[in-house]
Amino acid sequence: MGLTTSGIIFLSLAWGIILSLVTYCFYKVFRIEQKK
Amino acid sequence: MAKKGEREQWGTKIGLILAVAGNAVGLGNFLRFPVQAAENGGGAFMIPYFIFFLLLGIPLMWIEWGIGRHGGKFRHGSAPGMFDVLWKNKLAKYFGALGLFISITILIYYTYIESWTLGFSVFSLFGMYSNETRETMTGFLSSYQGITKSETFTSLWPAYILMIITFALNFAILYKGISKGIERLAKIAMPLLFLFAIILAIRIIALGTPDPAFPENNVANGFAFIWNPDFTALGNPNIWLAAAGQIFFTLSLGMGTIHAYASYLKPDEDIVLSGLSTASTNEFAEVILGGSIAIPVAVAFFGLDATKQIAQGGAFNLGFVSMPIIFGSNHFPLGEVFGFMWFLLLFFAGITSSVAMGQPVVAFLEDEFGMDRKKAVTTLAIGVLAAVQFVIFFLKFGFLDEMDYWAGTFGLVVFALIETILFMWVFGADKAWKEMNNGGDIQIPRFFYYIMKYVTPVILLILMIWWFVQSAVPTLLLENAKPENVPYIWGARILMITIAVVIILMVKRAWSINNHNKVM
Repeated sequence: MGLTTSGIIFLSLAWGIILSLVTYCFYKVFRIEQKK
Repeated sequence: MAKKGEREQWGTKIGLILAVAGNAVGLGNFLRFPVQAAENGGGAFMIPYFIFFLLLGIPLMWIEWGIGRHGGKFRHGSAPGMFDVLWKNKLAKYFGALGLFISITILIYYTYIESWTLGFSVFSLFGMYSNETRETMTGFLSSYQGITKSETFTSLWPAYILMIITFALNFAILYKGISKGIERLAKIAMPLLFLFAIILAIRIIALGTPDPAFPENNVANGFAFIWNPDFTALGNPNIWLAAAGQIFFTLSLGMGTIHAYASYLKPDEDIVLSGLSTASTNEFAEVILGGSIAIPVAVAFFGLDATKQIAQGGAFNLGFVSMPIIFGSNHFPLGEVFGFMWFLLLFFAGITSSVAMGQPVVAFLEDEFGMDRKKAVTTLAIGVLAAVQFVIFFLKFGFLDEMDYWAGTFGLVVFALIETILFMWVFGADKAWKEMNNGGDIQIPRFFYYIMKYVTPVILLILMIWWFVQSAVPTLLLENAKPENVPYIWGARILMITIAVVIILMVKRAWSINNHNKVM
């Protein structure tokens, strides 16, 4: 079976969305905390 | 611990985020999600999953943080008081009592399950299972639970002692308070949980094909099982409801726990960024880590067809039977260490959730009855310890399953619907919007106003009606219950009714002796 092209696309998209969101949130949290 | 008369506060923002994320990250992230994804269209499942994350998960997260912080202004750390300030009606506090009922009922059985993970982590380290088959490992688990007897476990005592240790840990943390107990736990347990999960995921990906005699049993096919999309599944409404349910459970919504944590914030402290950060941390644990461990390794060891059967057997079957077989296999070098890490990460996921379930009742006793923390925690501990005896000794008769259905499944969506209507419609959408955005490090995008007011309650209503027809009615009528289990199922119901009545009477008593709703 193996990962199909569409499987790789879905995995990459899902991981990409979540990693972007986590990075954005914690970048903001630490930056704002540093400013304070 | 705060001085008498003062309300405690969180020490740091990151501590608060980790504590709420710890509340959300539970056993379901690592066991329930991959099973749901694999069974409901693979990669295609992520389409409704992300849609409901946007329309249900994130909005409800902000609503619960908003209700909690608002209630905290009036010195209310639990739902009865919080609802009472949202809706000036005698009934409001009784709707809030549902939040106390749900959190304490789940706490009763969840802590027992949590103690299994602690036990299995120790068993892994001492190599108490190796080269097991599905039959022998099922026997190992059931004898540990006292359902059967085996050479390893001839009585329930090991499980009972581990349950007592888990209970003691939980209540010691609760006794220490918000900053020195719950926050400190989150700062230790959450980084360790992520560290263990990342190590396990990397190890499993590196496994490739563990047994060259079966080349089709490999990790890549495990990822394919979860991620290759089956677009025809999107036409099935059950897939959409499964995705909505998964988002709902994974974020620990509708339990009254997020409210309790948020009540210890200052009135102008950010909740928008904190809420989004906790939701995204939970998704990282679920989709990226949870999706890379149990199912991929199960396919690599058992093959696709057997993994499908395991998945249909449920999350416990995957976590406590299949995973130990894998870690005890000759094809998994240092399996004792990785098994220890697997069960300890589940224990960390469990304990950060169970202390959150205890907090609403502790806050209720402190805020509404003026108890000090020691007395409040002791009262809760005695009540929970008494009730858990039934769960332990009647486990095989479906006692736990009955409690889990009404409090841990159906009750959640009912409570979430009530809180959404109270906050966005009774309290008022404009006031709620202002309350949530007050002091925000970022502002909530305006389109969420309409989602929270119209879309989220409609989705919750559809979920509630669907579950009522599909499962609540058959469960209530005992349609699928074994005849020998029926008296015990009724016992579970009587216990739950007793808990509900005690909570309602306590709420009534608290309001009759106190002047409520004075701003801090």
